[in-house]
Amino acid sequence: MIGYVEADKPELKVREFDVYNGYYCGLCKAVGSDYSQILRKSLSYDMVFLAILLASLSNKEDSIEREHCVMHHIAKKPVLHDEPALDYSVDMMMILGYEKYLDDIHDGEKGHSFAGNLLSNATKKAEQKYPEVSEKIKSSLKKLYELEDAGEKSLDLTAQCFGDVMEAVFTGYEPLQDMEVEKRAISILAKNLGMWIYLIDAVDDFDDDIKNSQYNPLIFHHEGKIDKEEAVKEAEALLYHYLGEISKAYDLLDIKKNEGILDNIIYLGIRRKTDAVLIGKGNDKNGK
Amino acid sequence: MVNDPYEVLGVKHGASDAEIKDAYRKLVKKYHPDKYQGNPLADLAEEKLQEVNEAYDILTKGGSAGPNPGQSYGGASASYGASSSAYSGPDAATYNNIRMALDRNDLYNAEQMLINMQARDAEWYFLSGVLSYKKGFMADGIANVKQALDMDPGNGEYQSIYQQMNSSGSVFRNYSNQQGYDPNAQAAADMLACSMLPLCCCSPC
Repeated sequence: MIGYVEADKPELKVREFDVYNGYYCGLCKAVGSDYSQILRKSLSYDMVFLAILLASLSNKEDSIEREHCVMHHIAKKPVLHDEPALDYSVDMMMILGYEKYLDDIHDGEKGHSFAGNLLSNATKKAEQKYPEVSEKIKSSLKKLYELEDAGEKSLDLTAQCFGDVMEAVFTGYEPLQDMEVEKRAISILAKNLGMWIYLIDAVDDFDDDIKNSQYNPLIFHHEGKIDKEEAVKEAEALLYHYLGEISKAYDLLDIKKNEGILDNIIYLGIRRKTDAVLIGKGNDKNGK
Repeated sequence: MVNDPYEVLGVKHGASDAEIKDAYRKLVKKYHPDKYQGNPLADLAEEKLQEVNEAYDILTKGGSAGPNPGQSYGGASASYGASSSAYSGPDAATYNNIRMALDRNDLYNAEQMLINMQARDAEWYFLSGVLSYKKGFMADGIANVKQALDMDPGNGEYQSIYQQMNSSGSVFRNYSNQQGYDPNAQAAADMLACSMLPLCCCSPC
């Protein structure tokens, strides 16, 4: 359910592309140093967006250095350092990573117990740092799983649960607590982003879920009547509605840096992803 | 007290009148009340717009930051109303009551009346859709009004409300297009993305 919030890369300027990669590799390196190498695989673009968005609320200059890394021995890559929003995003990634792992088990995929144990320890570390956020994430996900297990028909109810998860993730950042306007706007942005992610994932998984007889909110929303064309058409209207609400909230933020990258993600990147998934060329087809 | 008016408008000190006007127009569009109608952040947009108006007044009228009588941005009102129904079937009285309840935002009673009805005609789906929309249930709102439209495609009121429900998405599409979104660029994006990113670790490509 993770990894849809990506920049439209060909439209980034060269300098922006460098900074975007700096956040990506910075997040990757931080995961390695703060936790354990094996956890790097749960890295996702959603958390890169989280880091760039939260960091953009401060004037602090991005400190990006060129370094080697485990995955790239030869060419040096830009890596961001000393950014509190990046550290926060790593912790959120750990909490969500473990929840995603639990979700896979929930969906019937056999988890790898070794990675499971490591995730669990890393998650505990992150949870201790952010007990309130992790409590909100857990309770919203629990509610979501219960609704799904009961075959909930209302797409609004299930999507809102995931919206609540994202709201908790995006608004738990310490410096945000003193910024009233920004916190309100980010809270609405995150909520709609969460609903968008939940729905786009449902469109993306539509065929697989039918094949495997698994819960899919779009199918249940149509009372079990499976007409993909109709379901996708309705999803399109709704996905674009969420995008509209995301952009309205975003427009109210006082962005202090990396506005070009954020504009790209909000106005081009997630629209690109929306259109790709709607025509059946989403993450599931390209591999996550 | 306003901040630096140049900063508020996002222009350099000593910017020309044309530059100021251009920046002002863009910001008015950005924070326009029509765009934020029904949005939980409408009050924030209004504050931002006021700040922009004040900054513009200072820069164009030489320091008077008084109220701006020429600029009244009232929110557009929803075209849906209790009296506008063209419906004249056997349930007309009940439907009228439901419409009035919806207008007062008495969602509980509107819902009870809808649940207790036998009919499942276009008007029923339409009002159920409006109810869902008012409750913030967009998926049900869009689906029900769409159902009403499918059953009564010529109904102008249904069409107009359906458009309003989709307006947020339309605004987004327009702005995204202005930012240079190219719907046919997908093939190029597929090719470039994988070879250009220094994917440290997780992506399989």
